[in-house]
Amino acid sequence: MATSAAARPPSAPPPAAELGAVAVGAQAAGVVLAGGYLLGLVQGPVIAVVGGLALIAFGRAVFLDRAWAAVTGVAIAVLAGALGVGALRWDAIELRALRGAQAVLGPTVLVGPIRVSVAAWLGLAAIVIAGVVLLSAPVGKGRPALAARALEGIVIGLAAATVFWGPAIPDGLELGATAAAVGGWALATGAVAVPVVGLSFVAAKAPMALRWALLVLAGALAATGAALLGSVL
Amino acid sequence: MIPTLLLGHAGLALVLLIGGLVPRANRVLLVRVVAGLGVVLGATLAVASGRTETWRTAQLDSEHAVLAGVTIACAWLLIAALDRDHGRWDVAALIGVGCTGIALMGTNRWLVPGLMFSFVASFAIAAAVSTFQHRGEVWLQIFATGAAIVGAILVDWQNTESWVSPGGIEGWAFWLLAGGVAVRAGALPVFGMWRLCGCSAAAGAPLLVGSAFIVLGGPGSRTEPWLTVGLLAASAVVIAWALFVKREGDVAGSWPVLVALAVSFAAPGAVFGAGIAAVLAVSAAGTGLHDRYAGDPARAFVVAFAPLTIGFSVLAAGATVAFERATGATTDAESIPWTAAAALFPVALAAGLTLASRLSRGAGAARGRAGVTALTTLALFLAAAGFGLFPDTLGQLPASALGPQRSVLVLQLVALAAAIAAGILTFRTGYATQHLSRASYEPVREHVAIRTLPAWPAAALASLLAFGGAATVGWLTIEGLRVGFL
Repeated sequence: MATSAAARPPSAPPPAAELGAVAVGAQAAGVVLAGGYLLGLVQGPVIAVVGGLALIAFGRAVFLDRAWAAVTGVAIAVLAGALGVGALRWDAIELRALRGAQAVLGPTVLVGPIRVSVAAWLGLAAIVIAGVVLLSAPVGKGRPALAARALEGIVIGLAAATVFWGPAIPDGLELGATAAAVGGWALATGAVAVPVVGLSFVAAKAPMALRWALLVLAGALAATGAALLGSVL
Repeated sequence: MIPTLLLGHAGLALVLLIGGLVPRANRVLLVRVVAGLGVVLGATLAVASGRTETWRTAQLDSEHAVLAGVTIACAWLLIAALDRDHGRWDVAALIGVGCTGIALMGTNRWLVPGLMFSFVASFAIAAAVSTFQHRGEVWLQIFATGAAIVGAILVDWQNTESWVSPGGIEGWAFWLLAGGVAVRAGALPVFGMWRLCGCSAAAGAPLLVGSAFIVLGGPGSRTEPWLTVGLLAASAVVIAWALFVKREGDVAGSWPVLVALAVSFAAPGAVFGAGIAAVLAVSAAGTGLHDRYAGDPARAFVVAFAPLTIGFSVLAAGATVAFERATGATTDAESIPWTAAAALFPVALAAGLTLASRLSRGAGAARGRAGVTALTTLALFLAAAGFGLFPDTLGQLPASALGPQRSVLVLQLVALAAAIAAGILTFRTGYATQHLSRASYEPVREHVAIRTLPAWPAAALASLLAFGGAATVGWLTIEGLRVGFL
């Protein structure tokens, strides 16, 4: 039973149950918001997806101490920057425009020239590294925590697949093509989500300095990708 | 109807003036009732802004009126929340006068009368804080920025021989104006109005922020990418300072102001949304962000521009505009600042959410304050979420900020429902208590006192600036009357 606000002693922290409910609620809202945009239910800009991811990060950070919260914040910033590399590739911040460009020309990571493709791979690598660090934070234990981590990994995978791989469903109703496209999209999502979630368990045991080093590396990769794009496009 | 909406706050101030004679217990009740009426009047002004009524030099049909209405409602809300049992009718009455000044300033079609009413509001706020500690610093903030704004307008008028330049103020006068607006809105952490958090004089803070953004929406309206970059960089410094050097609550309040200003200089069309987001955030901070025991998720969401609130819509608008300008630029000189801004906006978003997590984890409010403060921050959160869910009510936010209005609304409502369901489930199962135990709280860091400016020199300088500013506004008014402009 939670303690009511009026009955708290003057210097007591808010009850963990209340704060935890807010944190988990924010994570759920973040998954829904980011998922809604990434599944194409709502059209909008990449920054809206980042907003959903940021809510997830907020929910995680509430459970963490100051140092971990800082790591979480930087990881989200790097993730956002890396998604921006994909947007920069097509000069489009709208998800619809990104999907459209990739539907016509092919997945961002596979479309040349080679330096542009390399830039996209660098952005994708930055997303994976930042995602690993983000999910490696010690937030809860047991099945609920595992499920939450898996769900958040899928959202990160979806974001990466949407920006760097392309649309799920082609125009028209041809069953074979649709199944192939959805399958490819799911594979692309899984190809990011599985390593992100899996490696996050390994990274959870790493020292804090290594996490910071990984974030610096991810940031450098994203910045290099953006610079490469800037020099070519 | 307009006279009631604009002058009603001064009428409420008169009621308080008379009410000062009644016993203290009744005064407390009177202040609360009057503050409640003030909130209703302010909210009505914001809602009524769709009408095309005019009265003298005032006109309702503008975003200025929405911003003014929200500003006024927030000021009265803070009076209701922070007066506690003191019954400070004098502070409430002066804030009421300030509210009328802001209402007349915000709705005015003419620049010079607007400035005159702005100075009336400034003097009222200065008087309201006169019995509080650190008043010298607050006076300096009010009158130095007032003088800067008036000075900039005077210089521009002399250069262009026009009362309002079509594209906003040009030349070095713009930088004077921008500096004045930024400091007036609270961009400097721990200075001036930030000293008032938690006491009833904090009700002056939203009035200062609102007036700053009203000016920004008029003569200060200009696209300035380097300024956006500078403000975003400053917001990152504030976050780093808050997380690693000071306690969060000591400096965090200026973060939303810096970000809102950055958006205003990136996308002048979003200035009113940015102003409303900043006013709500400063009001939330004013309820006691600096308190040692100030953990409050609702306040944290408003201050940190969390998704679903108007702050996030504004931030997304800024990011979208910066990205589009960066990719559409044809020269390096144009591209570099916009690219930097486009990169910094997501950083600001991440930083804000990190800050929010820390502000949520602070220990709870002291007994007796918890209920009222929590209700106030909840009201501010609901207002921020309301504007966030219906950003089109603000008129000029870029249409593509978050996507098509209706589908975004549905998605946000579903997200809210999911959040509530997950929260209830977590609360009932007690899952969080196993992992977020009281022991996991880090020790609250002691407040590190930040040296204040000496009271008398600050007050003397503020008086000089007040005199200079008021004299200039008076001269401009006479000049305006002379040429038949008014």
